Amino acid sequence: MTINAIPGGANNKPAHNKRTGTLSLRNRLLITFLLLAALPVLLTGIISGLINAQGLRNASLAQLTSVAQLKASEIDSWVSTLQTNLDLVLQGRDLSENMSAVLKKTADAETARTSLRNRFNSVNKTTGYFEELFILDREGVVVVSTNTSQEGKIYSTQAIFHEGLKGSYLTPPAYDISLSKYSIVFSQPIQSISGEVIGVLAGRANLAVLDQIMLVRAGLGETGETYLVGANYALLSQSRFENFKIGETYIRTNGTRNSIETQSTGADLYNDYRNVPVLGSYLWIPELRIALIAEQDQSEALQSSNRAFGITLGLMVLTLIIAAFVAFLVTGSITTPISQLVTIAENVTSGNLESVAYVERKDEIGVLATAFNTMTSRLRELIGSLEQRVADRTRALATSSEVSRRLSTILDQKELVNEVVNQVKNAFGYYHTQIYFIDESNENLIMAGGTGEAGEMMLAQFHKVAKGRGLVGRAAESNQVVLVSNTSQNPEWLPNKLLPDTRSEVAIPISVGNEVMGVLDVQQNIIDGLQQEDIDSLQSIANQIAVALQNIKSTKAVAKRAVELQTVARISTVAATISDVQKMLESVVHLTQRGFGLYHAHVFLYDENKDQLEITACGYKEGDEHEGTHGTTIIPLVQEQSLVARAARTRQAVIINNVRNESGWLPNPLLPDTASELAVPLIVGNQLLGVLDVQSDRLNAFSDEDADVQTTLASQIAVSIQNARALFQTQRQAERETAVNLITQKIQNTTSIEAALQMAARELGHAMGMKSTLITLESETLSENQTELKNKMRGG
Amino acid sequence: MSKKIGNPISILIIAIALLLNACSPAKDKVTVQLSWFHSAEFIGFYTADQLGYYNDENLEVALVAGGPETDPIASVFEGTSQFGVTPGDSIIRAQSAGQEPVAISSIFRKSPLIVMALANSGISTPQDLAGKTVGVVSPGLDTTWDIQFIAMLKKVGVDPASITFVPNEEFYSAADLHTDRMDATSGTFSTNELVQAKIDGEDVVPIYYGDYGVEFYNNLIFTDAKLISSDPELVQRFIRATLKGYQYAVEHPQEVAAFTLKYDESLDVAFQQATIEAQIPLLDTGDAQIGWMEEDIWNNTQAILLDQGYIISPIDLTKAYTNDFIK
Repeated sequence: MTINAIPGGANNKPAHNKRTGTLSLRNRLLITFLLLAALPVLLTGIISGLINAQGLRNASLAQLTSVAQLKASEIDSWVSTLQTNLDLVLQGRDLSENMSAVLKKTADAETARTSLRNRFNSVNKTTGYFEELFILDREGVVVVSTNTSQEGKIYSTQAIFHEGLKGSYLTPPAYDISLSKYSIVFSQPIQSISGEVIGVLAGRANLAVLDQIMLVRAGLGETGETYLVGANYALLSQSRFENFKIGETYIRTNGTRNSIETQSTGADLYNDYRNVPVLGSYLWIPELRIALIAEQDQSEALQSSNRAFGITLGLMVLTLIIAAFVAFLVTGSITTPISQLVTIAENVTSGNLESVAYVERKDEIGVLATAFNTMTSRLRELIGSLEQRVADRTRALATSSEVSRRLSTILDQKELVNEVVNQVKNAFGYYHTQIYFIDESNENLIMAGGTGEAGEMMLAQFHKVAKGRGLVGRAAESNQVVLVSNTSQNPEWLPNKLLPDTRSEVAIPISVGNEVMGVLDVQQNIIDGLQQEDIDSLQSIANQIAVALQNIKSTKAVAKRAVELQTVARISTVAATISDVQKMLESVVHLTQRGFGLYHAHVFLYDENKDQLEITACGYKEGDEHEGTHGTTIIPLVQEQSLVARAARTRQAVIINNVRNESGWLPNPLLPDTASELAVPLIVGNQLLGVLDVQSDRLNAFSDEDADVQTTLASQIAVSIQNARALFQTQRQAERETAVNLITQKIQNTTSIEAALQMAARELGHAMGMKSTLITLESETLSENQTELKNKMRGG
Repeated sequence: MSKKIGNPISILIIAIALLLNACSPAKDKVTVQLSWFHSAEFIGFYTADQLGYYNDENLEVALVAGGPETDPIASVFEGTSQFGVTPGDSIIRAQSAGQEPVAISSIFRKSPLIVMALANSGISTPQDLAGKTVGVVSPGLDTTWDIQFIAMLKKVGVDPASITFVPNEEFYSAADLHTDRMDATSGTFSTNELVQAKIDGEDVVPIYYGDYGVEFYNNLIFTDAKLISSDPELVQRFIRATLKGYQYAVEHPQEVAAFTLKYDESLDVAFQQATIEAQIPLLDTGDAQIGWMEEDIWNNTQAILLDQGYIISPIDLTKAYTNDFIK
């Protein structure tokens, strides 16, 4: 056959015990094929055989019946011939005279007797019909017989006599004891000329004639015969078998029974007196009360039928043998490979994956075997690769956890990146691994680190990729993993001269929620080198990087905040110790610029009367030529565009992280590098004192936290301004009260009202720096206007 | 290893058989008084008994041997037997004497009686016996066999007075003929002495009484007319079984011969078989059923009895025999 099992391994357990009890596929197929072949053949054969046999049997029976009828009519004609002959004997004139003489016992009786005897003998000799002719007298005594020993016998009690007296009579065959044989006797009354019955003429028939009629075998073949049976079932004519003798043989067969009991005619199949199956035709002959039987052995009669049946049978057997042979072949060709496949399958089941089915056929079984082999080999590969993959996965998990463990301890981004790319590359055996971070502008991805020389070179070149471009850019933009399984097949893929062997690449976004921080990019030097499990592992690593990055960020933010708050405290302290507002503010902006690493910091003070903001102090970068100066910039509070005015108006911090994007923002020629700006109002209670404005040469330099910090600083500064102003006010009040006291004393020292008024006007004008002072007296209202006056003076 | 007692059908059959056995009435007991010693003459009775034909008819039949001293008619009328075997003349004589034995079947339809003479004696017809010394059964000439012999002599016109009668003594083969006591012996049977003579290679001539107008039924089966009227069905069953036995015996002489030993183990089977074969032409004549009786023969018998004065007036023969029980 075409498929052979290679038994491999130790597991070759026979599987037959599982199948015992049910018919195997092979047996079922065999039985089905054989039945399919056998049933029609058997049916056709049997039916045609039956029809054939039936036809031939009927033909044989018909032939037997016609033979029997022929013989019966021969017997009939024999009987009538004998009766006619007996009549003829009576008709002879001389004979009747002699008979008369004998019966009447006339004188010449003895002569007549001799004459009759001679005459009868010659009749018998001539015709051969009778073996004995004899005459009975009215007493039944045989007066003349061709057999002289019979003369003198008395038949008075016998039918031939008393029936013969009445008319023509014929005895059925009866056994004659003294003659020791069956006889058929014909008798006729002998009448005298006057018509008186004077005796009986009787003839004992020569049964040899009957035997001859019966023994003619024409139309009966080799085994056919006809014979006569008496009403007592005794055989009356010779059988073709010598050991069945007349007078001793009784024949009770279906044929004789049917014929004798029902005195009818028919044909049938039955066993004959030898107990041999025959076809028989039987016929009842009423005048002799005998049955005529014609029989032929079935073996001969049905020979042609049997031959036909034999041929049919032979053909059937041949057909069956061929069918069986073909069934065996076909079944074998179907089931052998299947059983072999089953064996192999069982081998495979028991763990032997080395079993292989040899395939030479191209039919379904061949396909099955091929598929089976493919399946086995795939299984083999799968199990092999599964082990590899489990190992890989284990390593990946180990890497992942190692990375994770390290990451949790690394607070430095650069170290983190180097750690990760090298770990990932080595653990997974990648061609190249690199990490990009999104820059502050959120537009570019800056390469943060990569493995090998290529990584170092790219890092040195400050390699960057625009968001949305290339794999890395797309991953960052879409926050989705972008995989290129075969770089040569992907037109969007951008080759890198430093990494010529890259065949597959995957870019995995490093993100927390929707915020993409960067991209982990992995490249492999084989097509399809990166699979889903790689992606899964890398994804998990990317997530951890993201977490680590956040940690770093938040750690940095906390540290920065602490530094900033320290700076705020320092500046506040400085601010609190300088009572001169101008000097204090100059110190503050200076310290602020330095302390927060800003590009510039300045303070505007609010002039309530003019409703405008006037620049008071500027903190330039270290070494700036304008250090220590401040211009004369005045910003009306209502100026729409001004950042400072807005902060003052809204009394809230205002951030512009990219001044170039801000329409209406006016660049300061002294501060060309300003990129972002933060303005914080200086407020105490509800009172606006001014605005602290800080600027950075970096984009996006200010966050809300920065605003909070600066707001805190601003409130400290505001308090310091307030304090300084309050101190100044208190000093002025004290001076004024001293001057008033002095004037009062001087006035009190005058003696006249006029002098007093003159003194007052002069002193007041002096004290108040007025060129002229007019005092008017209105006596009725003086006391009431005194307060008003005081107020006017205070408010001056 | 018998898991089951039997299948339901066999149990049912056994049950029915037991039931039938228990419920069926006891078999009808019937005694038959035979006319002579046990021999193949009664082979039909033996066969019916041995092959269970009586049993099939629910009969239990006792076959009682007879002998020279036995009177079967008396036995039946005494009630000792229900059936008997006796010659036709006995029936007529008993009827004439007021008894009512009725012949219900013949056994031999033809007479087996012969006069036997040696071939070289020159005796071949009854006429040849005139002036000779002839053996008879009884010197009184009053046995049925002697009556028939005398009748035959008369039929052929031989004056019995011309013959010297001497009693047979041997009743075996041609033994009597080899003594100087007789020229021929009468009252011998073609089914007995003649058979033996042929076996012995004797060259003897048989003269059949039947050929010379003396045809008697020498062994009729009879019963009481009362039984026929009271239990015809019993008579029917008995005759049916007995004739079936004869029919079988006629067709299977070799097989049934041994049955005779069951009734007299001293018998010689080979001889009994030869006897049966010799009986066949007498039993089964071919022109009528076995057992059938002809009116002619009864008339012939009565005529002879009248002629010899054994009865004074003729009886009604229809009361003496009936073929009603023969199918």
